[in-house]
Amino acid sequence: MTRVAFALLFGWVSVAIGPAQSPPEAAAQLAARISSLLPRHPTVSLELQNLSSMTPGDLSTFGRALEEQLRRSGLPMTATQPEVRARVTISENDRGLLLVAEILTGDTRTVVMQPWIAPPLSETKPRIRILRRPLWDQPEPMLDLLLLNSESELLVLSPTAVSDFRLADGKWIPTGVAALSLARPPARDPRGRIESTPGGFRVYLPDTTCSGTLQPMLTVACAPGNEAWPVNPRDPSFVVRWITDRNVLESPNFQSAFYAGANGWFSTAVHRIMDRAGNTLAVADAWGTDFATIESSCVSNPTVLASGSGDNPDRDRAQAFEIAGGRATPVSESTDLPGPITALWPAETPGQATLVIRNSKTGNYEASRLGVACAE
Amino acid sequence: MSFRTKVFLSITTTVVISVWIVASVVSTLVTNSFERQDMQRTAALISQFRSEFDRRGAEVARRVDAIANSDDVQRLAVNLGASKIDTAQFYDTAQALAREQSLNFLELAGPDGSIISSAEWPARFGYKESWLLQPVDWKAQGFFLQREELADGPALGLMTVRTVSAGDGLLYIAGGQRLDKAFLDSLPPAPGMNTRLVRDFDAPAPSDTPASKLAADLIQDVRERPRELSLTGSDVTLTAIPLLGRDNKLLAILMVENSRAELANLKTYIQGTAWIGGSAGVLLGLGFSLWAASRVTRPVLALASNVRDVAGGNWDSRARIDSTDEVGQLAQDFNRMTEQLVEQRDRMIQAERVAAWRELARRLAHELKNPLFPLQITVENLQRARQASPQQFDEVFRESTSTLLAELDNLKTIVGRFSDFARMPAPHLEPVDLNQMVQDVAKLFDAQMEGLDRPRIAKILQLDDNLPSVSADPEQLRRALRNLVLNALDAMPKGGTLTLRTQRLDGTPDPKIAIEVSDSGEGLTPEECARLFTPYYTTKQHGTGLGLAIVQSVVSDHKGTITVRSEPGKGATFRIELKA
Amino acid sequence: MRLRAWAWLALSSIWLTALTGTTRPRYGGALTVELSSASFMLDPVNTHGRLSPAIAETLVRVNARGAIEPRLALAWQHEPDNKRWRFSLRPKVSFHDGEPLTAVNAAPALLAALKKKYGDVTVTAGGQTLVVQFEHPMPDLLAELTHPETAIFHKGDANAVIGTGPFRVAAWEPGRRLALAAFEDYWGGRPFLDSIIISVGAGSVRADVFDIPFGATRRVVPEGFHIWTSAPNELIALLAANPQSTLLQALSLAIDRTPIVNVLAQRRGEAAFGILPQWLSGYAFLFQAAPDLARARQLISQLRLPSINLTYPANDSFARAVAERVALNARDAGITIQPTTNPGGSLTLVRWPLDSANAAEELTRLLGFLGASDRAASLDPAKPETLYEAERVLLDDHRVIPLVYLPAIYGLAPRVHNWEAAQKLDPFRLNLENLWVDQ
Repeated sequence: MTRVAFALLFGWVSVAIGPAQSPPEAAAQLAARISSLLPRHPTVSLELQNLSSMTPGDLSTFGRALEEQLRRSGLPMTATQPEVRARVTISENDRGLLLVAEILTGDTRTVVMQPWIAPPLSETKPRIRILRRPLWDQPEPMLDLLLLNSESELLVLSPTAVSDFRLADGKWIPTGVAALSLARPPARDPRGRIESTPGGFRVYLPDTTCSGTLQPMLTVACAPGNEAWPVNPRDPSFVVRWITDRNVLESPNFQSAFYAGANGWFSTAVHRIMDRAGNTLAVADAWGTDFATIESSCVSNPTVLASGSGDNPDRDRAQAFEIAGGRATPVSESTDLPGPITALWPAETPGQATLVIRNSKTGNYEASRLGVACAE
Repeated sequence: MSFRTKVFLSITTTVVISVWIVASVVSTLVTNSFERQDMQRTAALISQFRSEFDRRGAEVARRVDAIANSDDVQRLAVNLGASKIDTAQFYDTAQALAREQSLNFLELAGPDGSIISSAEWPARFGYKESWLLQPVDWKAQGFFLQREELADGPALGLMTVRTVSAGDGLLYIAGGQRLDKAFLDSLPPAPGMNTRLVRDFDAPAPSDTPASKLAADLIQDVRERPRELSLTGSDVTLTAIPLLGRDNKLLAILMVENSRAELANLKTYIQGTAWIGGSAGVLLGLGFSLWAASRVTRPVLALASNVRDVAGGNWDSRARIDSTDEVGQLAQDFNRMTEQLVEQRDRMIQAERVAAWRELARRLAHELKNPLFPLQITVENLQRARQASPQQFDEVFRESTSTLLAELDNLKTIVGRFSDFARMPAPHLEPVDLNQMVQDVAKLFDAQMEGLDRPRIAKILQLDDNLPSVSADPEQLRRALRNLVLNALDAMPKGGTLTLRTQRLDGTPDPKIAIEVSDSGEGLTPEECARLFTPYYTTKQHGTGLGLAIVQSVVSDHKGTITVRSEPGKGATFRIELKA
Repeated sequence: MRLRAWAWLALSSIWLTALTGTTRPRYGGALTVELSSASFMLDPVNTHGRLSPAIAETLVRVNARGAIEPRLALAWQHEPDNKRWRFSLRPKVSFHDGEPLTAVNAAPALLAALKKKYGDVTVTAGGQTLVVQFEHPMPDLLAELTHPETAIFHKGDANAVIGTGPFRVAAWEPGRRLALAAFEDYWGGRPFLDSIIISVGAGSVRADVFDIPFGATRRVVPEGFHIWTSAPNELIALLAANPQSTLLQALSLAIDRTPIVNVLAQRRGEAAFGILPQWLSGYAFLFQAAPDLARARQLISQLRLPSINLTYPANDSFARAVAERVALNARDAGITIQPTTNPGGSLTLVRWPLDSANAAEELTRLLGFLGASDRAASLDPAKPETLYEAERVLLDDHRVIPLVYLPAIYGLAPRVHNWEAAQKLDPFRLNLENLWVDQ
């Protein structure tokens, strides 16, 4: 009796949910329903709209299949001056995908709906590996660092000073420290940027900009001002403004900025990637608040290293994501870190990013360089 | 009009006019004083309003400045300066800031005029306040009046605007306080004064009272041409002060209402007092007139009564002398006068009597002389005859005695006439139809008038049909008429016309009748007219001359009058007037 | 105001298998919960039982995907005519007072609950088997039995609620405070927390979990606290008392939902054009329409309208702000609306929280509320078009004008763990049994 009950239960559940269909199967079923509503076979135009988590790849597969099935059912497909417009939306509710077809003839609209249990998404194999190379650690916070002179010189930016190190015997030897005269006291969550310039370097802090030289010795001169920060060394024209009071770049919605392609991209607190005009480009799940672009030959689409989200103050992670087709898809395993990320910037060297974490056990700030390699 | 009435009228008129003049003057002075005071109070109130207005405005400006410099606003401005700011989070900023600074209105608007946050109408975020974008130096503009739209209707606000630099644009901070009844209540009150703010010019008048109508007229007038204007009604003075907005548009009218009730009360009081004064004056006049009457009029009236007595024939009437003043003096003089009159009358009567006796004696002597002379001759003839010729004595004695007897008859007749005249009795009055009597009397003489031995005399009777009956003695009256007709006939020896006329006289005080006997004889001279009624005066060759005297006596006994009018050559008319 | 229900972020299809923190949960500790509305506290079991799974359990329950799972009933069968159902109760379950769960002591609560709706029901009990018999077919009995009203409990001394859930009632001040203590012998395993104190308040900084209702003056969120937002699960809509089609159509065209969502809801809500949210129905986008002020004015121009009263709940500043904004939009179209808290207005602003992830059931409930229960017969959960059609007919009448969907927002202290995972299990209940706290 119990088995019967379970079978019934399962049957109920499966009837409600239905068997999984591949895109062509779902398209065929929908096409049949649409064509049954158009016995006269008028000319039809097809529009596709995606309001679901379906990947662009699956979407285009489905779209092609649908059009093909409609044609097969005898409906002449046209893009110009159709008698009937068929607008198909791949929507989604809590039970899964929902195909909604609107058949628009003049002012009348007929709606057809079809739940779709899509097959599980193909597991994304990691395509890249994240490599981590520790560089330096210290008790004071580190905001950013520069590797110069074929990585023989290290400049470390702290909230109140710039420190210079030289590599000797595999160790970094401090060679100078220059204090920064700040326009305002260091923030609680300090952020800063250091970039290399022909004569030396430039430091960007909230409300303070400094220029420095390395020869003959480390000197720094600072002036108050809220200059725009260069985010990506590869594209000096892309600058963002630091909003000091809100501890954000450019806008209160944005916690950080990264650069990819021709536009500046930003991520928002609700995990949307938006361009500067405010259009949503992709939705990212559970990202943290620190990002850096990273160039990789393994992935053709823009790749981003991102910190993890969550409320754990003791641990963090870094993972690589591919931004394509309106989604951010992980392309690497996530790298576990022993403490929260406090800084994550594109490095001056392509294919690298600067990472600073605060080790939750030791309390030290640990700076490292991240790189990516193609996964086998 | 009696003296008492005259006194009463003159006193009351004097008092009433005086009181009225005084009351009018006082009323006018009071009214002027009130109006002056009203104007002063109104001016003071307006001055207070203006200074409070300015003070509030400065305060509003100060508070809005404080808001403009606050951290919240600065942060907002900085954020606005960046591109893509989400202003949604500042949606309720204005309410908190307005609460802090005790402002009724506060709006924060972005560079395009869109409301970021509104304290007075929170739901209006996103709506544009394009008036903020006008090219105005808001700081220099200072504070101004503005009509603010609220969810529950428009309100008047004392506003100011500040701007804060926000990147390439400006953040607008428009704040203010409500200008409403509470603001007016903050002004010190003045008794009898009411102030109100009129914002809705088209609202119907709250009531139909004259004050409401006056207010409506005033509002209309000020709307057409905004300026300070006052109108005075029966119980209220209204002053309208236009309150203009930034672009000189009329936004509200401050109405100051000064009650004229006190003035009206005072005027009523003055009128009442005047009435009382006037009435007192009237009473005073009355009292005084009564007193005057008793002091002046009564003795005068008594004196007048005495005069009437005297006029009525009671020559013994004497006035009472109650005082030594002019009235008393007058009474004294009156008494003296009457005494003198009595004396004179007595003397005159005496003289007349003597004159009448003399006249009678003369007439008698004249009348008697004629028969006496033949008597004397006859007696003398007898004497002579007796002596001379005893034989002729008998004949002479017979002739002489016959002559003596004839002359003695004549004497007897003459004496009889006189006796008749003397013996005329008092009339026995009874109603008499005069027309009939006149006709009867005229008929008596028809034969004489138509007689062959004399020229013809025509007879004309003009008798009034409306003649009332007269209370008279018919016999005596007939006799009088006969005498008059006789005289008239005698006055026309060569013939003529005899006219007998009766006439009703509707005169005052009593109706009278008139009888006229007219002849067309030779007429009489004025002297003859004067003497006509004297006994024994005659113009005739014969007669005793008593006829007209008898007529006069009869007329006099009947309390009538007899007059004659005549002109030589035009006949004479005798007119008897008797009471009807 | 009901407790916020939980809903899963529908757009998320990739979920981290574990949070960055993989620390194992700790037992012990007390959790303080502060909620701004006391409505749930009138009766810890009933009042649509936001808390009830913690105290009293139903025979079956619905999970996040809308599927029915066993709870106190382990298995069930029914006759083909759906009039007779048989439930086998889970063994080794005891009540908070120690009494074992048997069909006999479960039957009274079940019968009482079902009798309120169905007069023809009988419940017979034997051993661990309950038989529920109706005179009419009841194909949806299982859905019915997921409702908290059908929870199995009985009353003890001083009206105490004795259930089978992971927490027992330790102290209860109706409307003010509810103290729960861990039930050591819970069949699903003792909960992590020792106790939970739920009180009504809006400002205590000591609470570990507190809700942030919309419209509240910005609640100060202490440093380190995490703000958690659910998917939209409460509909704010206008209900018209009388059908005045043209007026309501004009009003619907005049209202601009975007500022309401962006500003009043601080971008945490979603513009609502349909009755069910997109994540629940999947077709809500079909009702989307842009405001058309010109058309609204044109419709109104032929009508002569008096001022209309819009009743909103008293002491609800968010509802008031929405009502005022609606009035302002209406004014732009030439419709005069007067927001008021006095009841009896021609329009009412209602807050309609979802009760379950069952779209058909939610729509049925709303149709019943609107007096259109007859239309519920046509709803077929397997055919979303039927739901769409029912919504469309309702919306074409304009008797319901959806405005915005709001999520539930909670502030969570850093010491609170497992919140998101816990909420995933049952979106519409406050799931406290899986929470644990740092000590």
